[in-house]
Amino acid sequence: MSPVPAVIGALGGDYRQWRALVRVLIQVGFRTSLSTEQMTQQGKRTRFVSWMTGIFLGIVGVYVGAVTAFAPGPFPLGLFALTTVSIAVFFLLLANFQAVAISPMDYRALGHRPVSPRTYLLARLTVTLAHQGINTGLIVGPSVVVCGVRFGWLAAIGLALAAGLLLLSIVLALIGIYAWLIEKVGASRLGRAMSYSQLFLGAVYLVPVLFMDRLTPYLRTMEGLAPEGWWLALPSAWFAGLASLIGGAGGTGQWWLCAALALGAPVALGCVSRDRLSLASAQKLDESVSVDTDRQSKRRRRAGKRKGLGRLSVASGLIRGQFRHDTQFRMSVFGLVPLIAFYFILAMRNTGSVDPFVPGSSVWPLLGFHFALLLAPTMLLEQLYWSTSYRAGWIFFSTPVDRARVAADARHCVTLYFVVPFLALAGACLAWLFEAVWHALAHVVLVGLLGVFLMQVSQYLWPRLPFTMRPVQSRQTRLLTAQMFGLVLMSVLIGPYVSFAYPRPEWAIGTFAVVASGVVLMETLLPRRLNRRLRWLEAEG
Amino acid sequence: MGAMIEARGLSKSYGELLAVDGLDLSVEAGEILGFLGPNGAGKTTTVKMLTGMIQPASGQARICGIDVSKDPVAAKHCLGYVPESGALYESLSAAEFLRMIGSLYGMRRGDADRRADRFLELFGIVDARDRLISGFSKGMKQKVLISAALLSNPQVLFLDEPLNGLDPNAALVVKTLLRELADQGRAILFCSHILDVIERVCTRVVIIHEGRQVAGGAPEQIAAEHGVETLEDAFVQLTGVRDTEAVARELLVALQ
Repeated sequence: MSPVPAVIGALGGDYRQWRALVRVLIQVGFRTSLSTEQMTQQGKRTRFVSWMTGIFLGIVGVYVGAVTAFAPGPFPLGLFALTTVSIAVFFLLLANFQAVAISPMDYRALGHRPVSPRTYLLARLTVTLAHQGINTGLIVGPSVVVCGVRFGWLAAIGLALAAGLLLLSIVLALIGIYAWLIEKVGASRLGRAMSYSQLFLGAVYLVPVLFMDRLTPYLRTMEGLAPEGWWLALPSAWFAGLASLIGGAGGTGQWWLCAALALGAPVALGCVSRDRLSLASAQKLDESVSVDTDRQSKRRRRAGKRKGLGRLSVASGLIRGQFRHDTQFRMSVFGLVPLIAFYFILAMRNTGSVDPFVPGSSVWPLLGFHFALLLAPTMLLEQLYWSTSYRAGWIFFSTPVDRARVAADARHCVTLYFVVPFLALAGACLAWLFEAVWHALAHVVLVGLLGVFLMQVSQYLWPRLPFTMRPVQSRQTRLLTAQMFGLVLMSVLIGPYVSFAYPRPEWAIGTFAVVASGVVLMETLLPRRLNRRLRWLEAEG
Repeated sequence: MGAMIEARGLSKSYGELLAVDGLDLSVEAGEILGFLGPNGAGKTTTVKMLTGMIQPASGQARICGIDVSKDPVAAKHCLGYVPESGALYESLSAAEFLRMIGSLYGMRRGDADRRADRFLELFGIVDARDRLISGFSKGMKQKVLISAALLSNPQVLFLDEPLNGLDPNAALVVKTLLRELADQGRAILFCSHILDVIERVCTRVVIIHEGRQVAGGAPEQIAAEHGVETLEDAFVQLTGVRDTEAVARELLVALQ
């Protein structure tokens, strides 16, 4: 007899309801959404995890496995692998929290059904763990194999178990934090609170990434490393300690302390979260996306009185409104701030010069910085398309609006409202880092132009109208991953290239001229392309 | 037999807005209660409190004698609900959605499938049972919602604009079905803005305005009490709308 019904029953859930909910929530979360016409022709299509995301995470897993092959013991190996997993899972959950962990739709469809809060929590938890379990397996799998080959299969089993417990702890911690926020903060302020909490949590969680950056070069020399002192402040060290203990390493007090912390964390977090997440949470979330308080109305009236931006005013009004009311959109914008700050800190920690105008400077510390600056415009434009208010997109399809112009204006608004402030922030950081204002200004302008160019290319390849796409996780991830490959490639190439070109005036001027010409050329080509592609676009929903 | 749906002093506020203000309501077995009110009168909020979707600020809601606040799961087992929002998991097929609903009510899979197929067949959409709901028309979605509400054979039904999007044939089937269900002893609360339908289907009507009950009784009784000929006239008088013809004329002027 399967132990699952007994476990679900012991945890206070209804097994049959749990099974039905898990099946449906997995189908709903991962089923690829097709247009009505496509669905009529092809029926349904299920993709549990997008292949593209799988390949991307698989590559990360192979990289982590390769690095851990040099680890001198099971503890440093586990520490590196589990820290990577925790960061990846944390950000994947943070980015898609509404879709993965609490969905407002659940309340509308299930609120009047006889489902207890505990059953709902267990079903949601199972679905989230299933999804993130696959991601975790892809990242930590190669390291488990390395661990087995080098330190014995008992150690490998320990690492796999520790990864599972770590995943459970992260999911429970995030559910607890968000459900607490949903419970304590009024619906009207919830969206704002969620955005700020993402900003805060993102910033807090970047600390282990900085630690990993330090850890990688020293991994070989960490023989005899044990979880003591400040290491105990790092949660992934607890789980690595548990894995080592199972593998037969250690045995003294601090190892047992790690094991106790690793085993106690999911239990404690489970106790904290067990009554927090329910359909009532989904209801609050539902209210937060549809609520219209007096305060917001007043602000909207004030915004209406502001001077418009000429022909951009339709798109700008829409984007400003969505930024104020669409939690998902706001979270994606705020999420970029700690990312830029993080890459800036990484670059700052380099002891030598990183100014590419100075011959002999090291350009690699700026790699992440370039990545963030190139990522921001494309990411923001991408976020602009997917919205829970996608049904309101009928307005673009039933009114005599120039769709190509709306799409282009949306891109211009992203440049004006978000890219320019991001570049100003980045320019200030670089000026401080380079100790040469003009160098920083010139470099930021070049990278900014490249960012705008990438945004134009993205719109050229996938022309869409703002806030008209139904947010479906698999579809979003696939497009983002495709764009990510281009971004990573350009970020890697840009450093060595500018360090070669900047010290040579003719090359520097030529580079600026080529990039600026590219932007102008795309601006000329885009209207015709947008006209052609958007004219026959069909509304979703 | 006691009331199947019962509200006592039910209240709910959203910030400073008092959506429902001390509402008393009861629906007996075999009765179809028409629940009327202008937009924003508090109808949906009342239904959500009665179905356990939101907690009342004060007062008590009972379904089949069960206190909804104290034992929401048991109360929800007794009821079926067709929400106005038409909320469905659109990434599921109709068959998958109805199977899930059956499981949530503790039905055996075979029984749920058989009943769901029969409903879909009678509504004329059985051929679409394996297609994703996102590709359905509004009327087809409404048929799935009605099937989902009836699937567990509940003793109490809450129907919020159930005829939305239905073609006249399907609407006639639903109206006849409701009368039959009431004759079998079920209690039905029917919300609609279509007063003709309310007059034809409901045995009794309650009109609410600004969260409070302003009239209750048989449709002809309400009309007679307010010195008018139809329920529509009584509704207009009770809910404080100005001279409708004058408003229409002003709208035409505004068009110039």
